[in-house]
Amino acid sequence: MKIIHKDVLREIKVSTGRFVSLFLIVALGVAVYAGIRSSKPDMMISADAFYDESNLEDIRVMSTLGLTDEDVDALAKVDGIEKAVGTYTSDFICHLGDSQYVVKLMAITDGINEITLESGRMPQADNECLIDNYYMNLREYEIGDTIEIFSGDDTDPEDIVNVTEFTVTGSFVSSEYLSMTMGNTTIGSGKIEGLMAVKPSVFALDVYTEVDLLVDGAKELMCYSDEYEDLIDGEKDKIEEIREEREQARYDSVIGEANEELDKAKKEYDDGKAELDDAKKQYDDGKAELENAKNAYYNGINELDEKRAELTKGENDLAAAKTELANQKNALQAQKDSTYAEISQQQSTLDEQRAKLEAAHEAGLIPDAQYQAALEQIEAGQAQINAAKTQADTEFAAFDAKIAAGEQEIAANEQKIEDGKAAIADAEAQLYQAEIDIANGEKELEDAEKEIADGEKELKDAEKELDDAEREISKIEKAEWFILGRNYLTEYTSFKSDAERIGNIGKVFPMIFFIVAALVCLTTMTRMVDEERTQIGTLKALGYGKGMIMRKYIVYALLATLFGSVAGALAGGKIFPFVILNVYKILYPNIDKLYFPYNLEHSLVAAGASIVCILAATFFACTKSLLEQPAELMRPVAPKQAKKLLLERIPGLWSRIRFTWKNALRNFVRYKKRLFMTLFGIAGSTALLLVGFGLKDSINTILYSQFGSIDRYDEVVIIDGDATERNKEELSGVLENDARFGSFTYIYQSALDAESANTKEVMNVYLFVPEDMEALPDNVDLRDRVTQEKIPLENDSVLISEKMANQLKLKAGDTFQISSGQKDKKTLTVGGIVENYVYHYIYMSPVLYESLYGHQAEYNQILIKNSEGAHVDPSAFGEEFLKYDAVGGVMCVESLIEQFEDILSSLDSITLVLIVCAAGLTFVVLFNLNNINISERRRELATLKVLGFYDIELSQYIYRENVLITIIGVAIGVVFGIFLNRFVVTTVEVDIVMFGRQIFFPSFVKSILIAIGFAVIVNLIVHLKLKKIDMATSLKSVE
Amino acid sequence: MSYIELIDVVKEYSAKGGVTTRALDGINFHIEQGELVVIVGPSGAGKTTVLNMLGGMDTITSGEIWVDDVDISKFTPKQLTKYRRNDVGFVFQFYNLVPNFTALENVELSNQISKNPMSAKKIMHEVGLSHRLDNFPAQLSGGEQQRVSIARALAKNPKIMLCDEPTGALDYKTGKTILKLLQTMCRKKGMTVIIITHNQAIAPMADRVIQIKNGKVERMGINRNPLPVEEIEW
Repeated sequence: MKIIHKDVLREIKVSTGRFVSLFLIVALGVAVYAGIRSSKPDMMISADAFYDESNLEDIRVMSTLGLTDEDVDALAKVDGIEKAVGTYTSDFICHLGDSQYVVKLMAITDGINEITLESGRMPQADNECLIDNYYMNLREYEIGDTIEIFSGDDTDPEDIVNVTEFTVTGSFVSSEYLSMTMGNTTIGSGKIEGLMAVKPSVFALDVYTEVDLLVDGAKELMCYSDEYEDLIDGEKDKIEEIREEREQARYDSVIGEANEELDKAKKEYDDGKAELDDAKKQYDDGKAELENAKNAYYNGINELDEKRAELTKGENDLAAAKTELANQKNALQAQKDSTYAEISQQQSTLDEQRAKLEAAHEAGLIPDAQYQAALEQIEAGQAQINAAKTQADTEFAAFDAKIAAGEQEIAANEQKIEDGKAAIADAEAQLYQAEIDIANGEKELEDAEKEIADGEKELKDAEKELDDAEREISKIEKAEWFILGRNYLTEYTSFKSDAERIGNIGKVFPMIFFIVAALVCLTTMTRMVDEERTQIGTLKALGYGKGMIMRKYIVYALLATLFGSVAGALAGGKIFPFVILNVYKILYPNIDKLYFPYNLEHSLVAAGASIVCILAATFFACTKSLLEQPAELMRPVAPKQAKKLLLERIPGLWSRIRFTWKNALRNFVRYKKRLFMTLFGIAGSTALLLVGFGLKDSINTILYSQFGSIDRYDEVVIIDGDATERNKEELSGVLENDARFGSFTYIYQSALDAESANTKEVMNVYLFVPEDMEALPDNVDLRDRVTQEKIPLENDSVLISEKMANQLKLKAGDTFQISSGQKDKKTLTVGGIVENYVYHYIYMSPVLYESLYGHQAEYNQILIKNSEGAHVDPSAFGEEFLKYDAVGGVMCVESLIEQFEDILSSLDSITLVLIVCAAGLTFVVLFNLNNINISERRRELATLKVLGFYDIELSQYIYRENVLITIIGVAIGVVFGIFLNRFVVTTVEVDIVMFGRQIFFPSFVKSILIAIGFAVIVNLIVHLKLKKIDMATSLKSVE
Repeated sequence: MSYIELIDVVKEYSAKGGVTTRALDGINFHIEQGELVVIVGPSGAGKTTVLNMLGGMDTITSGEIWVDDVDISKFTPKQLTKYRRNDVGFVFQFYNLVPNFTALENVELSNQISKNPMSAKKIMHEVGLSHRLDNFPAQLSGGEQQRVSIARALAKNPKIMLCDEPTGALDYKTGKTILKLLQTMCRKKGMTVIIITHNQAIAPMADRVIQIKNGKVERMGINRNPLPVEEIEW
């Protein structure tokens, strides 16, 4: 080993402090540069790995009329297409508890857009599904749960899917969606909340909703790279070539099908019409029949009445005949009785006479003759009586016969009457039946009438429908293809812009470190060369060349730089991307694998830059000394001239300043390089601290401004889409009567796309329409961020949130468009820009809404303000209110605040890294400054010790300078930090959020105190070093 | 007891590897108040170590050092600092002025910390530098710088003044004027001045000459009739 090389190693050993400080500042610079710069490619590499692994489509083709198998085949045949797969997606609503969410149902595809199973197993049957991991965790689904999907509009889900109820078999992530933002839709709340993956056979559609394509050779390229974009653009152009033909083919087939269906429908209509005519005829017949039946019925009634009268007459006659017959019978009996009584009296008289005769005869009183004669007479009387009797008998027998005949006749008549009565009863029953029949007939007829009317109406509707269908067919537009690259995926692009933001930070941040590194090196090497003047002179005198001598210093600096570069690249290349990517992973939770490969390019650039800086500084430091003659070099360096300061011209001031301060002030002017190095370092360190704390403040601003003073409500109730007026009234009643709630108001809120002519960007924003304009200021404070002045909401313009205005480059008076998925486009005028931090809002008056959309807004949310001092527990609130039918979901501002506090704590790691960097900067520069100061002034300090300075006085002598530089550095750092923070905040903030712009007072205090704290620690170490200074140094000769 | 008395002073330095070097090997001498003393000896004899001990810049291994009835060898570091601060004035071979301070400020540097200082301007006048008050060291010649250095030592009004090769870095003529200044100050102010030098030729101007060799006092002599500096030649 050459002796001069040995010298380098010894030098390092002797001046470890110097070497280490060079090493450290280079390591720090390289670590920050390589680390932050690598973060961007690392983010992209992690994303690319995920995309490639899951075969994320390179191009997606969609069509207004859907895509057929022929389309897929045609696309697959396009040159350069590796794979073309037709697939389906459709948005549905699913219910969970009492809330409803919009989910995107997607078919699981093989070899393209593959999903990654996170838990459970893949669906094996049509009624099984996976749900995305984020949604699963958020909504606390478990494997085995069932999900039923409903249509969000008036389409029948059965038209789209064969199954509407699914069992969850697991969870997945999709590279199409890196985070929880799934995009907008036209149904439900307008925001897609989750994904469901099912077997393709679940879909009942006869055309694909999209065709996903992989491009040959795209996988080998880094996504986001220009090469990739060029390849895809080229491929898109090739697809353009077949586009028109396929569009026409699809149009023709759709039109053909539609016409066919129309004809079918027409035929059906005609059939229906004929049927109706038949029915009408039948009705008429039925009606006539009924009329007849009615007539017959009335006739029957008349007849019956007649018969009844006849019968009554017959009965009366019969009764009269009966009476007469009875009278006759009585008269006959009486006659009979009197006749027979007369006869029997005559008989008895005769019998008496006969007896008297007989008796007289017997008694002989009467002669026989007489007797005889008398007897004869009596006999004659007897004969006479007998004759009369016979005559009477005959006569009476005739009479009796006559009466019997009369009685018989009456009986016969009676029978007749009975028969008549029975006949009448029969007739009555018949009539009753007829009556019922008629009534039924009438009802039937009425029904038929109604049916016919319905039929007619239906027919009329059908006619109208046919007309509509015809018109619609004529309106079917040519199929239009959308050929979309990955940029169409919101997440794909937002991840890219986030990565680019970090890249931008990497452009500015490391500059601080490089500037400081160059300054540190310049001062250190200058000092080193100065210290070794004599040696340089001796070597020169011995005949060593300039290059040879310089080599020592170059090698020394190079070694420090190389070691520093390697250490910095190794540590920084992992630590910074690790911290940064993990913070971003909170925003993009679906990327499960993060890659932090060492990025040679950035490490080399950083190392190269350091080497150039440091070699230049070393060279600069050496040349001056090396140009001097050896003899001059042997002599002590002519001390740098101290100068009188301007300050000294002020009479009476200088003499009052303590000598320690005088020394510090003069040193300032004397050693400008050191001053700048230290100032830069401390200012940089303070600025870094300020950035770290300021970043947290920015998010704190969101918390306290957004949820404290801008959004003044405490809870939001989202009205269920199916809620009826009664449901809503019930809910309003509950809210009114609950003492915890002070006031509430209805608003309409819906997700929309907004775009302006000023930029190409399409933003997802919320349209916010209050029902009650009076109540609006109580719930949302629309104000200017800077002046805090209230901005009124007018009826002819809208207010938009600040970040949205910035993104779309809008100012008051400009116009922009809103639409939902390119439908329903409206143009709005910006009336003002309001302070807002989370999401983007368009505030619109209900009057304007109605005039734009032609109907009143369907107020779908209630903003609730708690009563003064009332506290509502978020989880209890949800449980309590989701019970009501009208409630589709609830949200408490308190839980939002908690979410933001989580993000806030995740930023702690970034703040920590910044604090460590800041500490590194402070330590390196202050150590260096003090090292130089002490080594250069060792003699002076030893002298002061000899003069009897106490340790503390000696330290103060050195500290004055540190303190002064620290104060000035911190002051500059604060100013610098404000700008740096502004830059960092605007660069890192994500799309949906605007970070606060101001740094709060405590952050200034903290940053300043920490920066000063670092300085104090360095000073303490300096104090120990000073104590060790040997007084004997003062006696040595000047080298 | 004399004003300054060294009794059996031994100073050993232990180098790495356990090798002990004995720099002072039982030094004994004494000095009276107001004397101009020259300590003389060849390089490496232990002159500087004696100076360090006397100046309170280092501790001794054994023995006693009495200054004005106080044994400074028993002092704590803090007491030593105080001793240097108030009782010792030091004149260096290479002047050791603070380059950031003007001549006057360099003097003030010492009188601001001492208990009983003299006016800096007055001292500067006494050393003949009234016209150079506002000059920085780099603007002064070697002799002028040494005068400032002497003024700085005197300004404290110390008990003893220790001068380490005060003429070592100066040319003959300037060296003589510096020695003259020291002699004058000693006589005028009655201050005890100790000059350490390897230059034997200076010895005749001293009241007392102490010769040191190999860490021991070889000879101590009293000069009844010290020569004025002008008469000394080397």
